[in-house]
Amino acid sequence: MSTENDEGEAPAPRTDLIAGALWVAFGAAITIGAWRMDRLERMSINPYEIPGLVPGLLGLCLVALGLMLALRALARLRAAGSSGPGGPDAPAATVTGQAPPDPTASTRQMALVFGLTLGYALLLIGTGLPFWLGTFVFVTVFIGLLDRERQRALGRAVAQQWLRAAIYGAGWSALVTLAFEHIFLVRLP
Amino acid sequence: MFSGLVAFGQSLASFMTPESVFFALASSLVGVIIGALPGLTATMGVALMTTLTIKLPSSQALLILICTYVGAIYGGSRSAILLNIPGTPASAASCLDGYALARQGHAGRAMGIATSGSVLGTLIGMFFLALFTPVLGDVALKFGAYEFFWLAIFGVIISATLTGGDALKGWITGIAGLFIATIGQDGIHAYERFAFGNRDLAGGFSLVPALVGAFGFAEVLVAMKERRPVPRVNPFDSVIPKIRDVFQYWRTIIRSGVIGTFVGIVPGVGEDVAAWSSYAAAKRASKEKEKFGKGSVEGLMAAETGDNACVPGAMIPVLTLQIPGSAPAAVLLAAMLIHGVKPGPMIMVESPQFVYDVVAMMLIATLGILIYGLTLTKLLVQVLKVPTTLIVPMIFVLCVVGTYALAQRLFDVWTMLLFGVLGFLLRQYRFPVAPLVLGIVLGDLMEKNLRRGLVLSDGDLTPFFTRPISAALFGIIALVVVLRIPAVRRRLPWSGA
Repeated sequence: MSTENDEGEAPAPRTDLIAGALWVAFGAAITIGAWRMDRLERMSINPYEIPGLVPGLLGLCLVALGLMLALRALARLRAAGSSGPGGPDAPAATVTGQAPPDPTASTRQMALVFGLTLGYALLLIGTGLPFWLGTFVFVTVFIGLLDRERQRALGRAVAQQWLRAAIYGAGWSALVTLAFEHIFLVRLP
Repeated sequence: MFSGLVAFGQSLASFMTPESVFFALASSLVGVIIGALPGLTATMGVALMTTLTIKLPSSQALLILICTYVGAIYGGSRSAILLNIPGTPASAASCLDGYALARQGHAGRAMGIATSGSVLGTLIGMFFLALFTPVLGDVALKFGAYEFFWLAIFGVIISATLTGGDALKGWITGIAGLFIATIGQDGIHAYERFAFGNRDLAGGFSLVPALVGAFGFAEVLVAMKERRPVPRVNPFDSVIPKIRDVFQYWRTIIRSGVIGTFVGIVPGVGEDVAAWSSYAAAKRASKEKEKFGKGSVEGLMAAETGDNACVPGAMIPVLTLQIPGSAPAAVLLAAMLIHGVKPGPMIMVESPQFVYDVVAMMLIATLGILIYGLTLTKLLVQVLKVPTTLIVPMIFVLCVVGTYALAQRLFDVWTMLLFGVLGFLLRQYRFPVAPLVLGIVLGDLMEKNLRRGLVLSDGDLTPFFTRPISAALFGIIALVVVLRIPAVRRRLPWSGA
C-alpha cells in the first residue's frame, strides 16, 4: 500500500512532538464526547450496547498512542540536543554546509493549487454556475497559471499559452459534460 | 474440482459479449495508463472508476474495476523501467533491475520480462483465488463476533506494521480510521454520534468519496508538490517477451507467484510488500546474487510476478471475510457493497458463482495487459511525457464530478475534499494513509462485533481470548505490537545488538 520507509528517512522530532500533542487532544475530545453521549437508559438497552462505548475506547487509544509519539519525539529531541548542532531538526545548512533551497516558490505554488482546487469544488460547482462553464474556467486557469514556466521555457508567447490552456479547458469540459450527462446519465451539479 | 471448472467456464462465457469485451479492453488501458503515470496509483484509478461506473450493471462495473486494478499494477512497471520512477508503489522493486537493464540498452527486453512476469503472476494468483476461496469460505463460517472483532483489529494493525513507514504512526491513523467509521448513526440503535446536528453528517462519511479524496485528490496535491520535469525516454529494443527468460526462471516465477498471493491474503498489506518479498526471496535463492540490482532478469521477473500475483490474492479475504487484502481491494469491496454484492463467509453458500465471476474477470484483465504489453509501448511512452500540470486539473475534475455522481449530493464532494486535504497533510508528516482507509472500511465490522460479542458474553471478556481462532488472532496482534517496542527489538537475537 505504501513504500514509505522510516529506516532511510530523517525523523522530525519537533513535528512529531506537535503531532503527538494534537492526537492526544483529538483523542481526549473524542473520549469526552463519547462519555457525554446518551446511554439510552430509558430504552433499557444492554449497557454493552451504549453508542459511546466504541468511540470512547478509540479516543482512549488515540490518547495513549499520541502520548507515545510525543514521548518518543521528546526522547529523540533530547538525544539530538546532546549531540549538538546537526541533529535531526537542525537546518540543512548546518549539516551540509550549504544553504537550504528557498521553499517560498514551492509554498506559493502549493497555495495556488489549494486555492484553485478548493475554489473550483466549493465556489464554481453547485452554486448556480453551469458545470461546463465552471470546469472550463478551472482547467484553463489551472493550466494557464501552473504550466506557465514550462511554456515560457518552450518560448511560447503569453497569449499563445493562454489560448492553449483555453483549448484544453474547453475540450475537457465538453468531454466530461457529454460523457457524464449522456453516457453515465448523471445530472451534473 | 470439475464443478468448479464448469462454473468458471460459465462465468467466462457470460463475459464474452461485445459490450463486456469493450469495457475490459478500455478499462485495462485506463489502468495501464494510470499505473504508468508516476504519482497516480491503482487505488486512485479503482476509486475514480468506481464513481464512473455507478450506473452500470454490477457484473460490468466490477469487470471494469478489476481490469483497472490489474492494468494499473502492471502499468507501474513502464515508468519504473524507462524512468527509474515507480508508476505505483508496487513497482518500486522493479526499478532496481528494470532501470539497470534499460541503461544497458535492454529496455524492451525488460518490458517484455515485466509483461511475462505480470501475466504469469496474475495467472498463479488466479489459480489460488479459485482454489482457496471455497476453503477459506468454509473456515470463515466458523467465525463469530469475537473472531470478526479481532480480524478487523488484525487488519488495521498488520497494515500499519507491514506497509513500511513508522508503525506507531500507522496505528494512530488506523485507530483514527476506525473512529471516522463511527461518525453518524450507530448501526444498532441509530443514535447520531459526532454529527453536531448536521443532517448529512448524521448519515456518516460515505466510503468512496473518502477513498477518492485520500487517494485521488491527495495524490493530485502530492504530484503538484513533487513536480517532475518532463522525462527524456531512451530508445528501446523489442518488447516481445523471450520464452528463454520464462523457462530459465520458472522456479522464481512459481515462488514469487506463491509469495505474492499469500502476501495478498494478509489483510491490508498490498502489492509493494509482495514485490519486495518476492524480490528478496529470489535474491536469497539465486545462483546469480551478484547480478541483483545491476540488471538481473531474475530480480525483475520476481518483482513483477510477485506484485501481480498479489492482486488475485488480495481478493481472497475480500470475498470470504469482507476484509480487503490491499488498498485497491478496499475500494473494490466498497464497490461490491454499492452494487449490492455481499461478499463474506456466506458467499460460497449464497452466490458461489460470483467467486468464479471474479476469477474470470482476472483472466480477462490478464489478457488485456498481455495485449497492451505487446502492442502499446510507444503510446505509453508518449503518455509518460505528458506534463503533470496538464493531467492534474483533469483528474481533479473527475474526482469532483465522480464523487458527486454517486448520490448527486454536494456533501460527498466536500467529504472528498476533506479527506484529500487530510491525506495530503498525513503524507507530508509521514503518517501512512493506508491504515486510515482500512480503519474506515473495517470500523463498522469491528464495532458491531465488539458490541455483539460483549452482549453475548454479558460483558465477559474471556471468549475474546479463549476461543481458538480469537486466541490465535489476538496472539499475532500482541506479538506484532510487542516486537515493535524498541526495547524488545534490541534484545532479539537477530537484532545484532
